[in-house]
Amino acid sequence: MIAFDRTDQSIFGRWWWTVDRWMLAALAVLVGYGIILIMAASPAVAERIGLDTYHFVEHHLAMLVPSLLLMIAISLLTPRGVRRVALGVFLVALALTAATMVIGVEIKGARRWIHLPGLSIQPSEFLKPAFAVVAAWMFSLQRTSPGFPGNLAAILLYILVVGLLIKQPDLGMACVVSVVWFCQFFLAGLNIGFVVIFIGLGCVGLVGAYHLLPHVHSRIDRFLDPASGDTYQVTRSMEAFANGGLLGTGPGQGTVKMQLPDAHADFIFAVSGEELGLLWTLLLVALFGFIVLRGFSRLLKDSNLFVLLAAAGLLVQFGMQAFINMSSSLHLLPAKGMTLPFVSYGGSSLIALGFGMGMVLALTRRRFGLGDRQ
Amino acid sequence: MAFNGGTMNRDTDRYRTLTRRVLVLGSIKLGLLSTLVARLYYLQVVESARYTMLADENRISLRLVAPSRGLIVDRLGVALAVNQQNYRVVLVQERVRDIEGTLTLLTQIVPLSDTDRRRILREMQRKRRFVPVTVKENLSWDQVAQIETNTPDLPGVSIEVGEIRNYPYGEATAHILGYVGAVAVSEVQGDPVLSLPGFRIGKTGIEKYWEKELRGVAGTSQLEVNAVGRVIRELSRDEGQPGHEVTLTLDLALQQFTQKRLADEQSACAVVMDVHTGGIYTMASNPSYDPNRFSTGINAEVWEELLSNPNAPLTNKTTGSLYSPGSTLKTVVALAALESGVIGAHHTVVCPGYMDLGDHRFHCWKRGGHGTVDMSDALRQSCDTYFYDLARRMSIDRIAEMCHRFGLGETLGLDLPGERSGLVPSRLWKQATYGVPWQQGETLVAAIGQGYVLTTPLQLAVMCARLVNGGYAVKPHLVKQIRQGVAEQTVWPEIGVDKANLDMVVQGMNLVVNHPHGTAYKARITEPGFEMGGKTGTSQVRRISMAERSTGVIKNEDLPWRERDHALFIGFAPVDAPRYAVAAVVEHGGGGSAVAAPIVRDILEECQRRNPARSSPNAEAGASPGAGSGSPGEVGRPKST
Repeated sequence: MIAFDRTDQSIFGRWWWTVDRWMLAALAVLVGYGIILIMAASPAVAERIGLDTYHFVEHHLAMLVPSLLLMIAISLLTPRGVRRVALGVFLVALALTAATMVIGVEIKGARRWIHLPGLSIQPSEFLKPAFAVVAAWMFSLQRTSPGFPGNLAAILLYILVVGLLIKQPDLGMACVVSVVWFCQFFLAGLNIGFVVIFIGLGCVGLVGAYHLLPHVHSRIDRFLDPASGDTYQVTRSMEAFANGGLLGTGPGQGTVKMQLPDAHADFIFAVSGEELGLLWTLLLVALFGFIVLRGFSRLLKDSNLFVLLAAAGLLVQFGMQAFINMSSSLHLLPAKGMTLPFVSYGGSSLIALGFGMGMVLALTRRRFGLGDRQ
Repeated sequence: MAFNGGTMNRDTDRYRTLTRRVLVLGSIKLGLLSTLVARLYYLQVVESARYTMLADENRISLRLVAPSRGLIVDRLGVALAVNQQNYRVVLVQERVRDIEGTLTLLTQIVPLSDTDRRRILREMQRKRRFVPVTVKENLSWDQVAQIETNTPDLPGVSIEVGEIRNYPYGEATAHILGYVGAVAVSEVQGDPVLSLPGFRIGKTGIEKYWEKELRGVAGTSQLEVNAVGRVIRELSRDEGQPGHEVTLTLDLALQQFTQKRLADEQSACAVVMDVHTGGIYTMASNPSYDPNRFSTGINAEVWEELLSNPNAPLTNKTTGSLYSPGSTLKTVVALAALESGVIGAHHTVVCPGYMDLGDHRFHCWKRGGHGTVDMSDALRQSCDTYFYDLARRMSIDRIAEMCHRFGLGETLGLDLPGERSGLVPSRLWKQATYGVPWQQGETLVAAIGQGYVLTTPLQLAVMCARLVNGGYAVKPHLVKQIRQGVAEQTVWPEIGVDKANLDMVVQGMNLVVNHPHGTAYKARITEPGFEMGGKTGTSQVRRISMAERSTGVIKNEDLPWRERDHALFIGFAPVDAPRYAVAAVVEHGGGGSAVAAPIVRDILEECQRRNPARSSPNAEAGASPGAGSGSPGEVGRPKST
């Protein structure tokens, strides 16, 4: 690797010796794993829909470069810098998400996307990590600046964000944002009584969504009773895992990608299960687990509440997204369109991930007495 | 200090809570990951075996391999229905650069009509690019050779070999063997092999009746296919079981002889059967058709022509056409009278040429009458008046009952489709059909084989066989053997008639041919030991009016062909130990003695020369004609005169 002298006081030198290099390595492996899977899965999908064979591979690589650069750049920031950037991104993303109501492009019944020349972005992807940081800031302010109604501010912001997401509608993201926000509140020392109340509210919200929103209703029905509707994707996906077995069919040798339209995106985990087999797929699961738990363990040593809450929120978000994606492929959760971080093909979500994990790396850097207590 | 200490405590407390809660979150995360791992383990290790099997089904495609159709051979093993190699030229789209050009090139070797071209292009659009499309079937050897030598100029064109049914003796065996054709939608049931493209099944004849035996069991070919269904390689192949060979009782040479002999007549048929076994040696019907044209798919014009031909080439007349038996029925009527005891053996009748019943006069065929006749004379000269007299003494039901015992009026269970039952009228039948009672006059007409009575030539042959075989209820069949366990029945129950009575009738039939005044004396067989017996029949097709009768009945040759009488003859040989029974009908042939009897004579002569009953490997030696007194045919041994 690049060698930096211990005494190198350049910005990169300091970064290299303070950043969590284990997490960095895990992320690098994850990205490499993703490239292999995209190369295995996407040509079949691209050919089927009439695109150039390596269309998705090229686009994935093209998006990875800015994503990784962004991640490194963000990770150079101090916690304060992170907070500032997050606040800025939060405001812009919030405005854009609100704007999707008006100028958004409707895809599959939801307005989540904004088409810009040469690029289409989903602003809520950026809203999600930025909000986690802003909420952490609010919760920590409650503690550090007596008199400032941080918790109230966090609650109000939460209602605003989740309201926008439900309006789109993007229930999956609303769930993720809710869980992350709740975890942060929980870590911030939420009274155990409120914890119970919030969990109760969450359940009510889910039941409500099931009864009020037809597409949620049908998805959950199909999950609980596969005979009730079309479960083609999940069935194919499970067959792929079984077909892969312990050692897999070998990269490129699988068949599930011939049948699943989302083999390169939402169902890439199934391609991994089929082509790389149980052992390598377990490694993938372990990688996600490692990144999240490694982050947590670093945080335990940190005394800065904001840093702790923000990083924990971002890690929970990262872990949840991975968990939901993998569980959908394994038929443990109802099918939910969510990408597998850094592995799935998915244009702008890669940039958002780079942004989010960049903040995690920045927040988990070792700081020597520079604790920027507020 | 206190404040500071408090802050310290609060900080420590908060730190503890925080730590605890981080650990809680971490544990939840670990728990969730464990679920994933458990699920992965379940799917990829536990379920893997089951899914491997399911996935194989996606990869392996089972295709049926059409079984080879069983051969049909005659009693000596001569193949009558075989499978020929059918060369067809096929084209694989993806390997052809210019389809129109290739087809034009091919046209120079194999003529392709515009309809063919349209069909080929249509099939190409429907099928995947790697599936071969048949351009033309049934190529000649020359065409195959030309295409093979030109393969460099015809990329994507290749020759495939299939099987096609062929009948080497064509028209001679058409009515017995039938033919095969494409499976109709209504016939696709049960056996999946029926839905194979190009599969053919029996449409009529032996091919249809014994379809299940001839078809065989489809084989399977396990093919490895890729996701879009392209065949990668064949994993295993099971050829299935070819259909069983069906051995007929038929004697091909005699069949051909008979068919040729009948060819002189516009419309005629003849059947030869073994009087003891019931095996049919010959079953010929003229005109015939070429069944090979059906194998390749018959064109509409030929089919129309066959259907509209008034001489019904598609019909097997021996089982599918009904004729009034005419005087041939007198044999059974005589037996009915003897059996019922209404007359004695020496009963005589004076024939003045007619008989009056009520106010109706029933004429004998001989205007002047036969004078005083006994049964022997009556059969020999076919005296109608004698049988009018018998009919007057009996009810129609008694005649009908005897007819049924001799196989008339019912199907005989022949192993060939299309057998008709004919009609033997009775009181009950008349009442049920016309709603009016039976008239005695109708009994008189029935007694000479006219009126309502209708029989197939096969029934007449069976009747003859049962008369001369000593009174056994032999039934006709065409199949000698299919496989171990499925062989012909050769032992038959007794009908239960007095042998002396039977003897009298058979003696009468002997005299018909061998007495100088017999109606068929001219057609007798003179070769010693080959002599035949028989009975002539001439069945009227039109009604002779009173006026015509008063001016003289118009001679047959002066009538239009359609109105001429049918000529019938039933015969058997050798006369002293009957083995073969024949029935022949020449439609509108005129008199039975002049037209039908010579045909039967020729057939019986040829038949005895060939002696199929003995030449058959399985025939019981003792039952062979001419083998002596051991023959079961103890009856019917009148001294030939």
